[in-house]
Amino acid sequence: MSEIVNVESLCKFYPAGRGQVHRAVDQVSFTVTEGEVFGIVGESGSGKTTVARSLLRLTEPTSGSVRVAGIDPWAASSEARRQYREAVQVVFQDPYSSMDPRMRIGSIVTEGLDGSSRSAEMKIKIAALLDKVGIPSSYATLFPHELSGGQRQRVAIARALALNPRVLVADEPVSALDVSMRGQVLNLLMSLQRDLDLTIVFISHDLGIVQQLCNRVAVMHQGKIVEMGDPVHIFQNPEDEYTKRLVASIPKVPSA
Amino acid sequence: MSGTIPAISYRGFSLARTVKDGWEPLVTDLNLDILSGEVVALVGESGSGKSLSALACLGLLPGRVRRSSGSLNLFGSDTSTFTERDWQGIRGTQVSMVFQDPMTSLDPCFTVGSQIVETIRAHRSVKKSQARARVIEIMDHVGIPDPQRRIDAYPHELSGGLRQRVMIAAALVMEPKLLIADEPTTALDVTTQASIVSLVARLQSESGMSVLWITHDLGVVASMANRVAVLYAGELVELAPTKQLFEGPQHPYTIGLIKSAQVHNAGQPFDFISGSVVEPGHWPAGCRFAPRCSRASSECGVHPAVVSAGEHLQVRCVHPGTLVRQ
Repeated sequence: MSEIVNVESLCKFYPAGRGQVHRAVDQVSFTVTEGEVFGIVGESGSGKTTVARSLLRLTEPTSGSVRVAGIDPWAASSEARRQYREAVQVVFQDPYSSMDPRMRIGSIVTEGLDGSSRSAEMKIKIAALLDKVGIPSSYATLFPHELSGGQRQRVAIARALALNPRVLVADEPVSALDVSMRGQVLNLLMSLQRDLDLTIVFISHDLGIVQQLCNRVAVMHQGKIVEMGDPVHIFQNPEDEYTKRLVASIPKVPSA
Repeated sequence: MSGTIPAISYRGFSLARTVKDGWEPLVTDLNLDILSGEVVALVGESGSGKSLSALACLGLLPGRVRRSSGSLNLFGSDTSTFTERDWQGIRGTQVSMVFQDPMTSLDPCFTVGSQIVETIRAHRSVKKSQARARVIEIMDHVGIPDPQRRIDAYPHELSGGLRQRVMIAAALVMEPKLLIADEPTTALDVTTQASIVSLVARLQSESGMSVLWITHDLGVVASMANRVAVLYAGELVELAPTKQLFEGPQHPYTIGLIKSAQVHNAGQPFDFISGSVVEPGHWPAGCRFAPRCSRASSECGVHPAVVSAGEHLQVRCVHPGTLVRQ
């Protein structure tokens, strides 16, 4: 198994007035091997989304580096950057705001590809992509508002898969969904990971989901990784004070 | 649980909204009592009608939504006779509400203290200085550190958890007999959520008020409610004491919901309920959960009534029971 994501001493500081800086991400380093599901947990403001945005080349690091398959998107040539963008795709939290309400599902999933969504070749691609995520191909002509939240999140996954990415960044992909629907999307991510040998960076605040889905997890608090390793081990024997507090606060659902 | 008059009493309570060609039902035939001093959780997913049923207790239904049949009594009084002035007298003093997002429910242009003072002076003619002293007292009581200083803070200067504490302080400053909490911890971090849940539990046990806690999170429910009412597609599908609900859920939807919220071992698939929530206007004529239900049979084509199964348990299903498992 080779290493595909390499984040080294990543820092992102924002000016906070009066000469102060806010350390949103502070000296974060981790690597993800190919085919791994790597979780990042932490509460709002812990810096987990900033790490994700750095990986997506949406937020420029103050210092340190982010590499996927050896490419540093901030230092690379425009051709390498284009390759990088194909290799790293994203599923955002909110399937309501991450889609253009005036585009049809077919155009949404193939927006990243060259060519018109009306060509015969593209129609086959659309059907194949929708099939991969369990959406009937007849949905290609619908608009996002005609789909449920769970279906929309599947479409978002299909859109991310269109470019055959090597790394999928999923930023809280199920927290906007109804509880009964979450399992459908999580199982889909799990099976895609297995079938396509996809690497997934899974950002979440839900320790239960991370424990079931992820091979490794990093717990972030105030911009730093406070603990990293096997999620089952970490959540059963948390060593860091913050992780202990986090684990203790999870509301438990008694088993039926 | 003392007193005989329930804080809230829904009887055949139904809500509908105006659509192009008439009325579309949103909540149908809700029968539920929240007793004095009781904590009841209203659990359901989007479109279940849980928030609307709660808003009706404050006379705050959206303009297009009307009570179409049945009754809603608050402390024994029929709300259908209430005028806007009656509602104003009740809101804050008898019934208070804490909403999901403390950022949008506080006015960003005023200090948090002035917003709680406003509540007091709307109901009592007291001097500003007296009201201010009371605000500092209640802010301290809901666990806001350094209330003398925080009373002059603007909402954006406080963290999400502190803002929700301010909302709770504002809701409880007039010592209402009933607190309605509409997903008060959903927008908060899990560590903050735990502290808000235990705060409300403490305040409830001190004052003996009734609490209607609306949530989709069964984990939160398990730790604080006496009874749980599960809503699906605008109707009550199961009502049971909390312990009983988790030990022996009867309705397939409740079972699916509990399983969906549980954590399994690493690498195992996640549980879910197939299909998606049916929206109002698209409810099937028979059992509304039948299209997603593994137990559905031809009998489910007839809309099931709520049946009592045992002393404290009610369920709306023709195939109830915990034994059938997938």
